[in-house]
Amino acid sequence: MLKSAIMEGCETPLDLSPDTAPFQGEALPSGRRRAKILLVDDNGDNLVSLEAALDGLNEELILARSGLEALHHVLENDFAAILLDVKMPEMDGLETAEIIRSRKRSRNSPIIFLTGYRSDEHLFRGYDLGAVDFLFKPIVPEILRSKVSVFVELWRSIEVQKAQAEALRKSEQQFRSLLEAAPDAMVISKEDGEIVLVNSRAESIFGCRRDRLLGKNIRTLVPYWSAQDFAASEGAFADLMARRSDSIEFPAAITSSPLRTQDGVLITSAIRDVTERCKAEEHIRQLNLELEKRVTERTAALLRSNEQLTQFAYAASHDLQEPLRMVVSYVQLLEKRYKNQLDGTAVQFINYAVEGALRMEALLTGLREYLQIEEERSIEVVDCNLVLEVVRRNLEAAIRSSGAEVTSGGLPKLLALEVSLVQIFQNLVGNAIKYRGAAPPRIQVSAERRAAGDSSCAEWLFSVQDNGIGIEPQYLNRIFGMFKRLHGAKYAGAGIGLAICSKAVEHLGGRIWAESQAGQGSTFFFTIPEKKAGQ
Amino acid sequence: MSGTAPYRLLLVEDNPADVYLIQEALREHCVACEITCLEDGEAALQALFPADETSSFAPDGVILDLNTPKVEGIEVLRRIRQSPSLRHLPVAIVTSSEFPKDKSDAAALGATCYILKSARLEEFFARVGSSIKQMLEQ
Repeated sequence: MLKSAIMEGCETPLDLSPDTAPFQGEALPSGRRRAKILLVDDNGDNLVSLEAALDGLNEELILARSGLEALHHVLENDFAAILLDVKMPEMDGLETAEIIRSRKRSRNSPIIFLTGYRSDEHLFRGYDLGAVDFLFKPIVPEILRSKVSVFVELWRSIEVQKAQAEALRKSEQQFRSLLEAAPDAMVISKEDGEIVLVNSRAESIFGCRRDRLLGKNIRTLVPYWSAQDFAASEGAFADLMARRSDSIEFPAAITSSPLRTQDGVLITSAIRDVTERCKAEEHIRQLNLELEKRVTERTAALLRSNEQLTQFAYAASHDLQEPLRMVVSYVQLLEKRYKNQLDGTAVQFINYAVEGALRMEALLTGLREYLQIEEERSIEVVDCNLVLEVVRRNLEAAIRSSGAEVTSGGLPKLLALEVSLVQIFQNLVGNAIKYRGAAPPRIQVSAERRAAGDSSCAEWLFSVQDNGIGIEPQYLNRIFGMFKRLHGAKYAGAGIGLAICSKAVEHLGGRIWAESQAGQGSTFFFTIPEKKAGQ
Repeated sequence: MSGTAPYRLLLVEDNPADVYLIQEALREHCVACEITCLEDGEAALQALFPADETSSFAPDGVILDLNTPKVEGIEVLRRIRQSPSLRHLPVAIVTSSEFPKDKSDAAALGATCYILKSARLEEFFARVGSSIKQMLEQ
């Protein structure tokens, strides 16, 4: 009964250890519980002597002077033994026994008949009525005591069993309410997958009544369920597809624990329908994809628009150059032809006009040069020493006329765009010559490799140091802007060189900055990340 | 051939200001020549390849702007180089185009020289004068 109450169709009882039953102590107090013994005799003297005989057992003795009184006690108490005098007026012992037996509560209470004489009829009827023994008067106290104590022991052991059963029942009830209270479908199965217990959440999740789930294999609910995955360890979990009784599948998060019983391993699977979670995840994934797509589109649009602007600026500067060339050419021709017919002021005016036009032409040329960095060129291994040689040649006239000395040390070979490096070095060295002080320019070009840091890759740090006029610190941020100039007509220039450097350095993935004090020379720094071939 | 009989030059240039500058450059650098000026590529092709054989015009050299109306200068150059009779005709390109592609196309088609128009007058005059003189005297 106990087993079936727990398992409902399972042959394997749960091994619920008794020490998990917290109420055991109440049922079996440390001091033993006194058994109740009912003594029934119409003769008060007899009752007294029975009482005296049993007093030494130290159990609870209840006395009754008639069958009716006895029945009354039997209604209210459970007796370890009932000692019943056979011969009593009104209702004799046998009649009383019959009624005691007919009642559910007292059906199993052991009855010992006390009789004054041996009557086979009484014996048969008595045993027939379920008597366990007959004692003949005069009663021998020792015999009485020993017989009664046997039944008391029996009662006591039954009490223990009852208490255990109760403990087990309560424990089972707790387990069940725990199971029912679980937010997930709980399915307990054997190792082969046979379902032995489910909770009501399992019924609702799988759309199937409990009695139809029991005995089925858990793989009808979770096709890819595997005992190996789940029997091995506590709290093993997996995301598997589960199937309702109407064949609709849903994603399930399953957590399982093995439960070792004396009859083998039982596996408890907590099954959660994660359809909503999956939907939410999918939704987030879609949103992310959408976002990425939009960012990509927007970036492409920006790149297109940037490209168009670049082309526009390039075309505009190219087209502006032509009318400008006409202006400047004819003003020069005017000067050339009519110089002798003009006074000094007129010639000066013409010079200003030519100078302005030529400066504008330089601006337009520089602008195109700046815009042209956009062109796709492939990177290659470039020897910076050779680059500096090219720059020295290009700047030969300026170097010679200024008496400049350009020295270098530690320049590497690296993967870069040669044309960009030439632009950078030429502008920086050219500036160092152009913005020289009283002394002949001394220009040192150096490089050092900086190893990769936590958030940066390995890079080369280049520096171009000069002894020129320097830059006041407050202007150091401005100088890399387009058309930014710090000096007036004393130093020719379009304000494009450093903008070109900045763009070229950025194009190579590096940074550019300068350190300087007015009158103390300047040092320009730029970095170029070290690229691996094929990157 | 110098002195008495000047060179006959065909100048294909649509901008009269440039025509004048080129003529000035040649004059200043004493390139004795008789210049026929046409302002578009189509007219140039008609002059060089007339339908009527008798009116054939055979210059000693051509000065060609690349950006000419109707037929572009580079096309005129291609036709000249494809023609059996004119394939050796000296052709100077005078242009403001800095595009490397224009320069390489012109070289590939066998332009004799490639002169960049410049805002610096003296420089431009010198370049035109010496290049054209060299081209004609070869």
